[in-house]
Amino acid sequence: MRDTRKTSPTLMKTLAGKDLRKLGLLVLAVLVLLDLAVAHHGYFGIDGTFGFAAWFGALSCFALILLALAVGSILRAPEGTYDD
Amino acid sequence: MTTSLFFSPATALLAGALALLFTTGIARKAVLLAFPLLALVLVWQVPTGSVTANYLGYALIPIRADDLALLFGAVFALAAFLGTLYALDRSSTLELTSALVYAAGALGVVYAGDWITLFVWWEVMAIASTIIVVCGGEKAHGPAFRYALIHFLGGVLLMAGIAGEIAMSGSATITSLKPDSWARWLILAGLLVNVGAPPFWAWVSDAYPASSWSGMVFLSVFTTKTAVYVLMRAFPGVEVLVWVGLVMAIYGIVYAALENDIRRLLAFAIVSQMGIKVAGVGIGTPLALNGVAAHSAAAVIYTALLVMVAGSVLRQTGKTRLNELSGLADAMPLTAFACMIGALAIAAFPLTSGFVSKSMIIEAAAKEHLAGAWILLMAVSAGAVLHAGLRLPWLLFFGAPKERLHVSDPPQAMRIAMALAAVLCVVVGIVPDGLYVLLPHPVAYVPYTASHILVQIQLLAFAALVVYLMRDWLQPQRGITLDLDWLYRRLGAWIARGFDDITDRGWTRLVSNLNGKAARLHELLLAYHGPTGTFGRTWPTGTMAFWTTFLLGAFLLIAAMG
Repeated sequence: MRDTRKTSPTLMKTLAGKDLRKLGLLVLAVLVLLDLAVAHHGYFGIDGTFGFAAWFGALSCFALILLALAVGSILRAPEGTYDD
Repeated sequence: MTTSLFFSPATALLAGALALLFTTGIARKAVLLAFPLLALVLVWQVPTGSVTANYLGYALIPIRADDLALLFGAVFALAAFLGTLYALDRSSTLELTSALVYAAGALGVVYAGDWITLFVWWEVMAIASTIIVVCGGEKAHGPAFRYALIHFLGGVLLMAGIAGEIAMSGSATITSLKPDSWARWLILAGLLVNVGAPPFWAWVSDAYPASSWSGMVFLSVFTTKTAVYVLMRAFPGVEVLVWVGLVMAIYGIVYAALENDIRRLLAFAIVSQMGIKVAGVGIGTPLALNGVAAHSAAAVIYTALLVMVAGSVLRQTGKTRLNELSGLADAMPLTAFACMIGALAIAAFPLTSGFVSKSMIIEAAAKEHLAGAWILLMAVSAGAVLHAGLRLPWLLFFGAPKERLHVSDPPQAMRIAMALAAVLCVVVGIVPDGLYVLLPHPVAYVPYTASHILVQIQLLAFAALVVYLMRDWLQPQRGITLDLDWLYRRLGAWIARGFDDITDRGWTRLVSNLNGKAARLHELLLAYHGPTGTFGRTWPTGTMAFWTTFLLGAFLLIAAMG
């Protein structure tokens, strides 16, 4: 049976709202700008630079998703694959 | 030599398992709660030092207590308590008895000071945990059988290694080893099977999700964590572990990101988290080992919490597939909240237990200037958002409801267990010193610096942004992702079937060949010796007389000529 509770907004719908998206972007921007105020003492040089953790987090997550999609395109199989 | 076996925390759990067989109703519930609590108290009463005993000429150390044993003993006893509290309504006495024996086995391993004692408890764990998987129902029989095979294989590797080690070194005492002999490699291999390392890691995602809603809580706690504990004791600083661990960490994330079943997703997340710890053992510095110990303790609780959440969803809805579940936050608010706490902890968000523990391992890699390991540890740290850190709670609780499910939060005992675990995740995160005093090495690490906090929040926030932007590609799809178990579930079966065919055909040909030869021999014998054969038939007397005369004549002729 489909959900008929049209009047009860779920958190996802709320989070998908434009205002909250703007707020999210603002939070992300503030997080990066905080690097101007916080001194990082990196061990490798690059890890002490401005916005490192931000771009690194995004890039590594993107790379892992691509890897997952590549693995999935080769190795996904139906649920009953081993049933026989 | 100041303690006795009677006060071993493992014995308390074995006594609990025995008591469970003879109790029902309220008494049964009291046993389920009291004996793990008793074990937790006894952990604190085991004095530092060791108890020795001689058996068959071997110097055994059934109990060897130190800071590391205290930490793991306390966490395992606590997890056993949370597990039995969560499973208070579970009717299967077999599962719960096995769970207490399983926990006793884990505590036995923690306090074992020699390889022989360790091996005995190790196998107790293997048998008890297999029974827990079996208790998942008929669909669990196949996974349980494979689980048993893999763990008995691991046990054989471990036993062979232990035998070789004792033969070569003459000592059964567990000490820090370098893998410089075949025996030590075998011990290492046996331990790696249990930790969920390649090539046998698929047992985690095969067996755990097949267990019951309560069984997986116990399973998620003991086997992998005891294995990493023994790795810390026996193989700290072995470099190959860094790379084995990182492969596990990446594999877990990739497979969890593709997974549709919430309990399989958590199984992959467990392997990923174990990978970080194995890598930490490989780094092997005091900071890294402190990090592994702290992260193990934290992971026991937050993993148990997330598995409890998944168990609650399974019990309340009867479903575990993400493509059939979403938007459960309205119906199960407390479960959703517990999931969020577990998610934040597994993602190592500040103010949770994951943050104050995982960051030590990453910092240790940086301090040792292991650039490759550090980059990958940072990447998998961000990648936690792809499994239980964000993908699971988001899809399970906060999507639009797919169908109207008349469900609610689980019964009271389960709710209390989840609440306690969630509180522990946060309390340890806020007051990490309570955990740090139990670590094996002196702690000079300060987790809450502005830099640490900001780096971790940036890492997770921007990883979450990418997940949000790519959400369409991360939608749950029905199906499974083929894993290395394909080698023994498919390829192995094909080879076995092929071998069977070949031997079958060979045998048939051999038998028909022999049959043919036997038939021909029979015909031959029949021809000469049968009723009508030359040698078998009755000859007339005249013929005999003729031939006798003929032979005598021939004889006389030859004699005369000579």
